[in-house]
Amino acid sequence: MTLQELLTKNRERVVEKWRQGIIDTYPADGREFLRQQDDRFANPIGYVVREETDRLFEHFVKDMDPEATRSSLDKLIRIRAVQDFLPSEAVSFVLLLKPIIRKLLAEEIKAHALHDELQATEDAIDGMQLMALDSYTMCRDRISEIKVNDARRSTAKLIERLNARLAESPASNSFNNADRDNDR
Amino acid sequence: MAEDVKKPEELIQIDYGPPKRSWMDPTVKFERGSYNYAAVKENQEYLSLPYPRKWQPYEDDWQLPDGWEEIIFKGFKERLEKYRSLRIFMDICVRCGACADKCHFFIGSGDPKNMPVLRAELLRSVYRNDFTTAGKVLGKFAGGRKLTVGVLKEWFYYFYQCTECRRCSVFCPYGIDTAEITMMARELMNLIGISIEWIGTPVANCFRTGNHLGIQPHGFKDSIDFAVDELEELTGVRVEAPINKKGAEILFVAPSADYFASPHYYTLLGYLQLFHEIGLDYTWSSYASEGGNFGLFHSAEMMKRLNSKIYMEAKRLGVKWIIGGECGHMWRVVHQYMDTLNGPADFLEEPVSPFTGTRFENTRATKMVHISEFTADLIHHNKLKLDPSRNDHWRVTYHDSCNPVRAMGLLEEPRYVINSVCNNFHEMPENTIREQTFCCGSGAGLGTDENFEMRMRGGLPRANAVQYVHDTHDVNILLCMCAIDKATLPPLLEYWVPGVEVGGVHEMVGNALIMKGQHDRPTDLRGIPYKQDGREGDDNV
Ligand code: SF4
Ligand code: SF4
Repeated sequence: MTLQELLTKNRERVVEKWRQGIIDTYPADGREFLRQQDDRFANPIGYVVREETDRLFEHFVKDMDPEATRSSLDKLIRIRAVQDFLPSEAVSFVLLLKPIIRKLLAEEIKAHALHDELQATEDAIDGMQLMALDSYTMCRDRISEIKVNDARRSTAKLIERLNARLAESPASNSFNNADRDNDR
Repeated sequence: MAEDVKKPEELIQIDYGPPKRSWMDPTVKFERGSYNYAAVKENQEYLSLPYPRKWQPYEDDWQLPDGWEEIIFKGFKERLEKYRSLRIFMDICVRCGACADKCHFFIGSGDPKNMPVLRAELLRSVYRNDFTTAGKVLGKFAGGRKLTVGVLKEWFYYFYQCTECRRCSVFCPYGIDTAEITMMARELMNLIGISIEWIGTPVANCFRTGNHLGIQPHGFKDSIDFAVDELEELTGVRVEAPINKKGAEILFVAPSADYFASPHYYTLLGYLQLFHEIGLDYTWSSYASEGGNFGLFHSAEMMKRLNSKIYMEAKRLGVKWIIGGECGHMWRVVHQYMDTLNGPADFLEEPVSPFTGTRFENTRATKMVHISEFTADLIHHNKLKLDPSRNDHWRVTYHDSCNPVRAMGLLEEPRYVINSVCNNFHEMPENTIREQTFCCGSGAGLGTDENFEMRMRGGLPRANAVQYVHDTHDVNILLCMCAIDKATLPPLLEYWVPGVEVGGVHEMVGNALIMKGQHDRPTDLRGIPYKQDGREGDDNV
């Protein structure tokens, strides 16, 4: 038996533990709701955790498809990047997979002498962790951009009008952010 | 030392979950992106509010006035006597939990103190301690808490994490309105000079010049003139937009963002087109140049002061009745409080549409008609020439803005209008619209830059539903009828659902409206060109 087969066989158990670990990063009194409410619109965090951990794990075991992995990580991290987490707390849920796999499957790993494969799997988890870090950074960059756009929008028409008036009077400069205004 | 170094998997065994503490222990951390700056001293002074001072929530010392506990105690007592509803809300909650998971801030953050029942409990525990016999005797054992600086900081943190959207109250079997509890808590904090900048500044500006950006009358006129010019370029029709015209039949009041912000502005163009086309005898007012009533987020007194401007202008200009634009909290104030605050408006006439003869009986007390009711009635009577295919480049969904839907029950009118002017309308899932609509997450004064992360959390449930119709129906615009929505949904969607724009219902009306004497109109109001064949919008919409 290979580790891949072992992981596939135990997929449910591993993913369930992983999910639990992620939900446990939220305050205790809110966890039951996040875990139990399965309406995806009533509980978007719980839904994303449920769906995307499953998807991530599937790709992890199968092919590590970078696009699919990135997309799932992005969904999870987009949420955590705006919640009360330090950057390390926001992304480290990926690493949780290591102790889960090691503990849950300890006996089988030993029985089938899969330690080398385990090492490779853990390296792959590290790789996924780095991708998570990229996602986090992109989310935070995005927030900075959005804040700039937002400030522009809030007075967009005032500035445009001012520039129109300034353009009427010769030898004047316009506020240069008017033409960058993202409304069309 | 080497053995002290933890392996990564050991590191992550740290339980990041906040320790399981009793909810009664007050500790809040003012973290990045999750609180609002304090009200500015000068504006507090301008509004003659007590204890103006320079302070910030993240500072240890809030420079509370001497005897602040007593001030709050007295204020609380006064309000319990004055508002029977407050006493009832304090007494009757049975902690059934029906509201617990209905608040967008809880859903998007997982923070249990954002459960409406616990939010209310922040105030209720102090009530129990100070005003009930059991609480006075048994204190903590009866669920009572003494008001300490810690508790006060918690009040500030969590009562400025409530958008007063009233979603929770829809689910409460006793009809407890947590939004009103928040309003009371904010009033109490005001008594000791604690409020936030994005309430204090707009209120002071509205009070001074009539709108929240502080634009003066000539600036207001300039804005409207500018829109008239631009509309002429877009349609070939020069519309009239009278300002302060005495003796006009109708006063029109819109949120000020409609004339200075984007995408609100396209809704303004829509109003101007509509009023011109039907030949409405109306006027704008440069003094009541703001529908939005930021006073609602401050105190009953402030809400009254700002609301009265609209009615004073209606009186001064001698109009018969009032139409109000696509605004949110203006309507909460008008529909639920105006009559007792500044009513009765008996110097005005009961609104009757001059074009259809429809009597708007529902507005008998306030004499103020919502523009979506007015427009729906025009469409129903075939008074408008509409070409919905002019909106075919938009695949729309509709966000029920909290106040029009939950405070005044405007469910069908906007939908009727949208269906008449758009061919591609897709509703979001049932438990996220109509009475159950999810808030934008930024209302009630919380739509600030410094509060950005909290807004993204609070707006997650809304955005999540938008994502769904974006994925399933390729929806590319979210319509709404509230200026705060139009300001705060664009950044929300930029973060969660890039590729979906935000617009107003009357922007779509404007696009679809066929005007007498119009030229070709090769673009929509945003200047997006139609394709020649079948008028589909540009691909880069
Ligand atoms: S009124 Fe809205 S924001 Fe406030 S507690 Fe209720 S659901 Fe939450
Ligand atoms: S639903 Fe009403 S009674 Fe039940 S916990 Fe919430 S506020 Fe209390």
